[in-house]
Amino acid sequence: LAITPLEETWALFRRRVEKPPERTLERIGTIHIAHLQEIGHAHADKPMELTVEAVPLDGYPSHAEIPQAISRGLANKIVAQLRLHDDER
Amino acid sequence: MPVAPFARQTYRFTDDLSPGTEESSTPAYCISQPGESTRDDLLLSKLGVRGWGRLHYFRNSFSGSWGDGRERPLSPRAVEVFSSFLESADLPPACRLSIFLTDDGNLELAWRDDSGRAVQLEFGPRQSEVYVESEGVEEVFANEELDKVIARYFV
Repeated sequence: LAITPLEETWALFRRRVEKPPERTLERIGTIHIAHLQEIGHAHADKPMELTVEAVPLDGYPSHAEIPQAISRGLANKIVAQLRLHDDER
Repeated sequence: MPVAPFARQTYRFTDDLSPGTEESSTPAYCISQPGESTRDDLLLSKLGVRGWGRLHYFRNSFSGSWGDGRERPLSPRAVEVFSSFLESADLPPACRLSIFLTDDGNLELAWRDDSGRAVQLEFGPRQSEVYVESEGVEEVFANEELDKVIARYFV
């Protein structure tokens, strides 16, 4: 199991996720996998079994993906439950 | 010399003041589509200056490749259906609309209803998606069904 510390994730996301000027990185959200799965189970009419699968990338060995197609409603619920982190540099 | 696709021959006077033409290497002007001015007025009134500015920015800066190459350019058909929605939908007067360009080249429109719950639409070239949190609505619909969706949720 690979883990990238949050402090290093900022630099990594700035390199790989941020696309200025149209997309800038303001915050990072974190969530426990168990909590993610609870949200999936509790999702309205369409409970989902969410999983997280390791998909290591070059320079980002801890990269992982949720392989299930997440609907907009479920995505909103997940986003609402994220713990948000500001860059404290 | 490569010439921009909408460059036209420009008119000039030669030294003896007889008309002549030459190829322009820079775009001289853009030709508006019929009804574009009216549509822009509508978009400006519905989106406000900031929202209209963002749409204008998307149309002018993201009609080609962008990002790291996996992102798709803004779909003109998505803009059409987005405009049709704004033309017909009855939106709360005080709502603050936000507009986004997605990686798929679609346009996303989002706002909060009176109770602070999310309303989101994503307009694509063939189909679109509506999400109304307060009603538990999550639907993907063909763009031909736009009028029905507006009648159901936005009048």
